[in-house]
Amino acid sequence: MPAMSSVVLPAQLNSSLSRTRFRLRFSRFIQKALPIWSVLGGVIVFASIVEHAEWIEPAWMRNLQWMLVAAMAGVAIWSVSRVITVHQAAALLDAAAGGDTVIPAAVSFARHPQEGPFVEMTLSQAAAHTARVTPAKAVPLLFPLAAMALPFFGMSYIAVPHVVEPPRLFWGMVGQPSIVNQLDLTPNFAKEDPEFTVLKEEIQDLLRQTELFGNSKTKELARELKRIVDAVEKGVMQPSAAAAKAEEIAKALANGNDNDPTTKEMEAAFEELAKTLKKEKEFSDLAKAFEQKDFDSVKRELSKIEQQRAAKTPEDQKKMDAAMQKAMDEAAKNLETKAAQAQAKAKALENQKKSGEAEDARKDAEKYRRAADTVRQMGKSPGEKAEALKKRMQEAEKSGDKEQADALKKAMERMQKAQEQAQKNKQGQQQGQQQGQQQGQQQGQQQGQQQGQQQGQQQGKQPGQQQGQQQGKQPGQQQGQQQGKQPGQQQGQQQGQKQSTSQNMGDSVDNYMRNRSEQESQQKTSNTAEEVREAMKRLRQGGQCKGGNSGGRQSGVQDFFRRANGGQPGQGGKQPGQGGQKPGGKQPGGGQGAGIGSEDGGKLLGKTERTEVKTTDHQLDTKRQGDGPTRQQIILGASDKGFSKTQYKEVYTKYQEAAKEVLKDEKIPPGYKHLVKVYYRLIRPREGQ
Amino acid sequence: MENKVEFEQEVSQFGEDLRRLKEEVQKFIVGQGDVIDGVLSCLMCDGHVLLEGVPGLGKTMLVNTLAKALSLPFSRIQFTPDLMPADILGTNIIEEKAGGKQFVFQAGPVFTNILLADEINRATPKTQSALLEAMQEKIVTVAGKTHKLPRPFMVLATQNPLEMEGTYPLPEAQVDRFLFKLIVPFPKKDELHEIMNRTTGKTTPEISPVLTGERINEMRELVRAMPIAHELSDYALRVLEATHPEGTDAPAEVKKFVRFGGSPRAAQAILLAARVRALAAGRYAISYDDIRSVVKPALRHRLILNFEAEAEGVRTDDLLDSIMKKLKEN
Repeated sequence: MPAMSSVVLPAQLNSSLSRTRFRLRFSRFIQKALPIWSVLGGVIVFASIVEHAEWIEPAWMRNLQWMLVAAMAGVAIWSVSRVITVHQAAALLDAAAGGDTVIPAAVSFARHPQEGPFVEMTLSQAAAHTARVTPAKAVPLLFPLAAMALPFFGMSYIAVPHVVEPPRLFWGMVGQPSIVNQLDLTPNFAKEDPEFTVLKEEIQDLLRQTELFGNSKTKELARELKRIVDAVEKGVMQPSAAAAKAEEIAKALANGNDNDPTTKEMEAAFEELAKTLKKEKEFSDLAKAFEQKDFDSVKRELSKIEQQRAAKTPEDQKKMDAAMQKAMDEAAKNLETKAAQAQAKAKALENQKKSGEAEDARKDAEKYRRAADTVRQMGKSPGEKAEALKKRMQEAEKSGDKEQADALKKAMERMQKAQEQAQKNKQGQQQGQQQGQQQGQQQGQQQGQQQGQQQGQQQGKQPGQQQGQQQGKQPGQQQGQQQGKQPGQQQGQQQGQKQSTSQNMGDSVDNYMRNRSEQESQQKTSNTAEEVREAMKRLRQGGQCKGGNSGGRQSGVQDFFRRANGGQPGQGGKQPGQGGQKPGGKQPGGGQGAGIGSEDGGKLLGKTERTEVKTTDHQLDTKRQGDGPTRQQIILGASDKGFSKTQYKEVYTKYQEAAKEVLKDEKIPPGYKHLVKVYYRLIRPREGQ
Repeated sequence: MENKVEFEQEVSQFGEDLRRLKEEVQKFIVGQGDVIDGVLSCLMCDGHVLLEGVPGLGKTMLVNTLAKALSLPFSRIQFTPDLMPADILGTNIIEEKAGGKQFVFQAGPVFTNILLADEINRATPKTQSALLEAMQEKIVTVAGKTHKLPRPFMVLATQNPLEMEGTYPLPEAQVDRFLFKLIVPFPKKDELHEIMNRTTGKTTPEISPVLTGERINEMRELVRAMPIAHELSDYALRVLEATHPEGTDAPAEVKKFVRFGGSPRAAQAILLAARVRALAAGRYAISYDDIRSVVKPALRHRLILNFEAEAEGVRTDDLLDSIMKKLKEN
């Protein structure tokens, strides 16, 4: 038998095999995935209709749609991910070419090399067969009939949101409502609803707080929130849209307040100052007060020091000022040393590639550096401080540290406010002085001086006011000069009446306390905004359910709320809101409430779970035998003991106040707070209770 | 290129020779195309055939005709219960020669190219097993001396499935030596007409030799030279595995009715016969159809059914059909 050279699979055959494999994969997708897609597509369209018609909780339907889409993707992956071997493609090509397993044999010979004339001839026969057939003939793409429904479902899905509307479709199914029913179709949202009522109360709180403590932005946001809620109550705005918008505003409000970094710097400065002041005997009490962070005591001690200073000779006063200045300088130095140490630590950490820790160390260094500046500024007058802050802000802007620049800008604004406030106080004091002067003209200059002094003392112990006291001693000379002057301008005027170091320190302490108080107030606003946000979130969840059929609630929770409103278990009907008296409104004591019990109870109380336990019946051997006392006997027996005479209103008030205190003082998540508030709203006393 | 042409000619000559041989046999044998194909496949594979059919269907005639068409020596042994091994293999006899008396080996009828073992199941197992060595090893050992059988050597055994009384069913080991077991069916009516015409007339067809022994050996070499694609041999092996009740691809029927499946010899038989079929068709590689067409003759005598199958009258052919129906090509 003649020998032949080894063979290679023809290129044309290779190419045909690749294309056949691809077509086979695609064909599998068409044959296997598309029919399943059609079914899933149909279910998605149906779910979309249910969602938009709000027959069932829309969120569930949306989740269902996502799950179905995921299932479609899974089916697609499943259909194309099956292994398609070259041999399968070869067999299909061979079948299309009518070749008796020649192509698969050729592929097999190429994969499991064999030599000889038979192999050569098989390969050439396979090449000839391949030339006769195309992959399209080998794997025809036949679309299953079921796949034809897909475009229809696709178009339907797009059309559903435009066509299906909850009331129209619902009415189409159950019949157009009568006029009476239409009148009753005012948004459930606006009906008496404990959650809605709680929300309104929260917003009122928020408005109060923002009016008191907020800035123009937060005030405007709170007012906008109020406008939205009013619009919903009047039925002008859709609850779901309003809730979404309102939630955004509440979120902005909750996030609107930030902490001022300068407060931290001042705390660091005071801490260090406490250590250096401790070394001076005459300032030991002040140091202690600083150490304990009791700033009221600090102010008292500073006032004492000022009084002691006033009693001293000018020389001693200078010595005292110098001692305090020395303590401040030392504190500033110590802080600078700490800053340098922190900076060195940051560098070392950076070298060790501990970027996170290095960043913290760098922040500490910056804090100490600024605290040192703060200590140095403490001995200076308000004008000088304002100038220094301005300079720092400009530096920060230049260096591109926007965060720091903003913080400093806020600090400047606060300082300016404080000075304005001080100016107002001063004006009040001057008015007092003026009165005193007038009285002095009538009763004598001495009396007027005393009165002016007393009024000034009463109007505050601010250093500026103390100036006023001094000025009050010469009312006729300074009155005209003081009126209408700006804080910066005052500096020039105050030359020659320079404040003592302790007075300047007092200014700084005042400034710090004011900042802290403001931050605390802002924090309160934030907390309230957070509670409003939570209420909005709840209401939106509730509103989505209310838009359609409110009957789809957990019956247990319905029962709970019904009973909470004074109803009996099992009462309330399947369509809450009809037939019953509206609670809260004109007839607040009207028993079980419309809508109550069909609300968001399931979410509030969480999902019920069943614990798998094995129970064993035990027969208890009791002394009493028989059926026991009748219901009548029990009631009569209880009445013999006497009924409680405490009014429900009193009990309610007592408990509600206790709950309010806890809500105010303890750290409770806004969701729980909201729940408690809604609960108390539900169990509020009705008429005659 | 010249080699290629020569090879093509060689393959086509194979098919042509086989066709001529079949035509020659069919001069005398009417119908029975599958049986003739099976017998010729066994001839080309160097295998032996077990023909099963009721008396009078032309089994012996088929073998006779084949021997004539091949112009090869032909022997026929009618197996009976008193037939002894020496009657088949031969024996040493004392012969007087010039130098005195000496034992001379007297070759038995097995020393031939085509051997017809008629009604093989009528002989005792002792005699049947005497044929075993000859069939498998193509040698005969008598009185410690081994004698080679002529090549080609082919045994065509027949057995009657009806008269089971006084018979000795062939043991499994011996049945396994047969490459194919062919069932000779009853002829169709038009075939019967033709048989009547040919055999009851004045003249009978003349059978002329078509192939020589040498040519048969050449053709056998060509058969064995054909390579088999891995996937196809894998398919044949999966078929074999499926005949075993414990096989993963075994259908429920096999698991229920089969006691033992086919031996590796069955797979050899399948692949060899498939090669012959492909070459006869002028192809250079076997196909799945080639395998499927030889599965039954190669396996039907190798499956050992259990009592339940015997009781329910289950045939091995039905089981093999279910196996092939279940097994996918790839």
